[in-house]
Amino acid sequence: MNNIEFATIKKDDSKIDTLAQHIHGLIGNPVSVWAVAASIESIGIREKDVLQDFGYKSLYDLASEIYRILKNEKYRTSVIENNDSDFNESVLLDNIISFLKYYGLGLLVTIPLLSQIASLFIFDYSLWAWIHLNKAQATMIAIGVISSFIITGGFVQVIGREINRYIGMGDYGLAKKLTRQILLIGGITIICSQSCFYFLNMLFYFYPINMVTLSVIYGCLIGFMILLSSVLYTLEQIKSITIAVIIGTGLVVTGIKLMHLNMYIAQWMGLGATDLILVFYMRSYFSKMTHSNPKDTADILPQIEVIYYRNYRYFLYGILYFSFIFMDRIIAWSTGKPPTSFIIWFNTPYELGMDWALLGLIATVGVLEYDIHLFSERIQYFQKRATYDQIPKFNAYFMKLYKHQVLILIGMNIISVMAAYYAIHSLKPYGNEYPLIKDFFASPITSNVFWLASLGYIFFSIGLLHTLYCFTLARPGYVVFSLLISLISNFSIGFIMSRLISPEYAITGLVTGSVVFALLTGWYITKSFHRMDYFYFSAY
Amino acid sequence: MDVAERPTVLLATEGSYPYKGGGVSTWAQMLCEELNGQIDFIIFALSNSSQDKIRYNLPSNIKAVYNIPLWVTEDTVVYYNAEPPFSYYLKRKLRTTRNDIDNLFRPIFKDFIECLKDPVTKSVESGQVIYGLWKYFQYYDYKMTLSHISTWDHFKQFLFEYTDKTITSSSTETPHLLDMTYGMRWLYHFMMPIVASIPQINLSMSTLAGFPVIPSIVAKFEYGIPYMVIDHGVFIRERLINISNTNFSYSAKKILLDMATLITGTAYHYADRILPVSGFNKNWEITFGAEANKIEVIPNGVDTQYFVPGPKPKELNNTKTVVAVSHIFPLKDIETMIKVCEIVSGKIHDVQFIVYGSLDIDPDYTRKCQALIKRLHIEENFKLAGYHANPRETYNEGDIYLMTSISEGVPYTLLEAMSCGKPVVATDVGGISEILKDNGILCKPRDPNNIAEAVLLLLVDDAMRNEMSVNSRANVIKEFSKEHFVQHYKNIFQELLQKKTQKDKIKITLPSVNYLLRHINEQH
Repeated sequence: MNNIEFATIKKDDSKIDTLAQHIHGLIGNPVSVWAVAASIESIGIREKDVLQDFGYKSLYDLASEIYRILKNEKYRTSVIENNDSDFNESVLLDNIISFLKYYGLGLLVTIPLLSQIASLFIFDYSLWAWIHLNKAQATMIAIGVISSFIITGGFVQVIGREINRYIGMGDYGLAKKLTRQILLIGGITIICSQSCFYFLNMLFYFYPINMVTLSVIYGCLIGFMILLSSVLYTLEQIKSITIAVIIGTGLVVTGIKLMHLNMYIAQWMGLGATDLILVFYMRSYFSKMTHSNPKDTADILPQIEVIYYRNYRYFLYGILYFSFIFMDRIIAWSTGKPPTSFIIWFNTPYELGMDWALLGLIATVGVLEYDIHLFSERIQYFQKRATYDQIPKFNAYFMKLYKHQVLILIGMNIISVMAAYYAIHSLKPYGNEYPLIKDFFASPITSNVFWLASLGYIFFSIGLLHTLYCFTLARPGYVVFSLLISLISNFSIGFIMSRLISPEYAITGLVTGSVVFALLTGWYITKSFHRMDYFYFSAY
Repeated sequence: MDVAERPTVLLATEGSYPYKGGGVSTWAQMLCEELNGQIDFIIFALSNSSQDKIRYNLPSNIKAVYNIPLWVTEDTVVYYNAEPPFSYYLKRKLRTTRNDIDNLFRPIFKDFIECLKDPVTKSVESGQVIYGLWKYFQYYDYKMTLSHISTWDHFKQFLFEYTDKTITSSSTETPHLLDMTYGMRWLYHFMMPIVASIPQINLSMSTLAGFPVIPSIVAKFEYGIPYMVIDHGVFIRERLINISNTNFSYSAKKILLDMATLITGTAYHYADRILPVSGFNKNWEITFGAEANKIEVIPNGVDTQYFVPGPKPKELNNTKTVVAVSHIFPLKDIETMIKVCEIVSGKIHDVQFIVYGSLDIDPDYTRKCQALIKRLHIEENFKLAGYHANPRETYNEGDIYLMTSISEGVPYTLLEAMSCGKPVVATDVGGISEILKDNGILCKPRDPNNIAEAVLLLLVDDAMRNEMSVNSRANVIKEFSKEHFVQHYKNIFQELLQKKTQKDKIKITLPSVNYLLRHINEQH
């Protein structure tokens, strides 16, 4: 066709406008003429059609015209108006409903624990506790409990991460496969560790054999329970855990009241039943989910070194975490005047003070849940809103958010501590009526430990908030380092003070360690939040 | 041929063989099977997930399959072969310091960013950059380097310079922080093939001019290995369509398309041969940097011994039947096919249109088609029959084969139908006209009247239909058989294997890459 012939073919403006609208509907603001050309082709308009149907020599020419039209103001509509005031909105407590929701969710996980406390109040015993335990019994059961938490601490972290990884991919088959492997290794580790303690005791005679046997059995049963609960906790099956714990506790009660079993046998029966029920729930859940989410995949786990490498820091964190939590108790129970009967000997007033303080810490778990939810929500929101030249404001916003979240946490901590204090203290007038209450307040050590432990836990919860941020930003290494230093501080100060002054001053180790933990992690968080743009990007 | 004499070809795929079905996988399986005993293959498969299952019975000449899952967040190397063990890669992590990232990586990354700013003209430099990055990542850790703060700051700076400052902050074109985050993360994922070491090979081929071409470019620089790009579709064209249709922001789309444009141009520039499956792709290839003299069309081939004419099922013997084998999604334009059926059934009341293909690809579109069938009252005439495991049976149910796609490459189903002796009515899109020639009727897409006219003509005119039936099969045997296709590739392989290539690394001009190479020679 020559130019004269071409010139006589009229361009149909209405057709071109219609096409422009159609292309705009498909691709919005086009990135290039070629994007328009490819889109035109994708709706069936061919090179050979453009001349006859639209009056253009080539597809590229038509695309150029459509591109020009779409770059017109009519089509270049603004989306969200970005302005700096976005970053000034209140972050203190902007959404009461959201706070209550996530606080409530956070507290839900404490229900199984609360059921145990309730059982103690109602029946005087629970799955592994009994109000009338003598010191020897209390010591051995406490050793079993503490060792089970420390031994399983790392596995609990790994279970949580790996299950979430594979469920996030929709692969329940692999989640089940890896969970089984971790539980197997965890179970073997529990048995081996407890056996080591047993055989070491045979060599060094820390305790009489029958006492150690008690400790080892409790340690194993509680350890299995922790491992299995962590699986169901990650799968958000809190109800299942609660049911298992309640049934187990019910069996303890039945065993004692109806079958007249001795306390140990009844509690072992209860713990064993709890473990079996947890296994049942776990298997049922995975069976249901693998059937309803079938995946025809290769079902291959990575090399074992890879699993170790991607989890080792979290594993260390788990061990260090519980070592830190229990360090002051071990130090306090290992000294005194007169010297303790054995290497570690239960100190009742100290333990009562610690348990009392724990009530306050439990109440702040919900705040941490809310804080991390708000952080995740805000970061995604502002990533979309902040333009490339607003990055300093974006970073400043998160520094502000962080400071406000710490304030809220401290505030809620103080409220929880005061609530815990007055809740228990209000029982004091009933001391004459209930000897147990009288015994609770018999020693001033209990309330001294309560106040210092509560102070320590306030700082510790700040450190935990920092930990959650670090985990969300995939930066566990610094948390592990901080916790290690804190543990050393906890041990050092607690040891010196408990020996120099009095055993209950072991609590100063917890306070010091918690302050160190809060400060070290706080330094890292402050550095990170100043560069939140980078830390969020690299959290993958 | 002795094992020792057999050349080894690296075959790089993306989202297809051997983990997914489809035309490219059919092509790859056929090529590997037919060359068993003559050529060995190593498959480099870029996939979505580490859990993809191999869907094919791999012939014995496939010596290894490397799965490179692009979208995992951990180190990809862990999914390669067990050799070397992960501890080998741990050493790379320990070796990677800030100093190395700043002095060795950043200058090359800076050059990469310069290429990204002008993706159309920087193919020469881009190839050198890819080689330099590959060399760097043989000694230093990928994830640590790409997620380092100095890399991020550099990328941010690039986006800042990249942005048209006349755009106000309320414009849809202003980059947002999320675009930067996505942009850098996409870079991390798409460039993952750059970590893989190159096995012992004699030749390399990539099934698209996209990111799977990275090992081929590297092999060319490092060992002088020739490579070819097989364009089944046109990667850049498909990216332009798919990315433009997403809900991503303008900036995010621009970053993605610039990355795609850059890799495409580089792939074409350094390729020794560019082998599209149809001539339709040629224009796009040349536009995006392919030299015309490197391009040679090798159409797909089918097994003409397997896809043979057969009798219609008894129940359809006296019924005019139109068959299509096509998944139900918009590009196949089943809606136009339905409208064609309405027109044809007005003249041939008991005509049957049977479409075999998965109804699950685009459930919304399937429902739309089902609603249209109902609205036009042609439920007795038009059947969406679902997926059929044995397409050979389906072709022989029909008197003619119909294809109403608005976009195509060189569809295997069309060749298979022709091999079964079915005359074809098809829309003239993609490479269909090159297959059909005079052995079918070509129509304008989205024109049910035009298509219906062609369908009626063939259904009514027995002589024309029979003639086209014979010619269809003859045409496929002559030009589109499996043997023809394999021989074509064998010829290309032999030509390239004999080609003497100078190792391209001596042509490196970028100071950043030369500095890295000198450093590596001295230190390692």
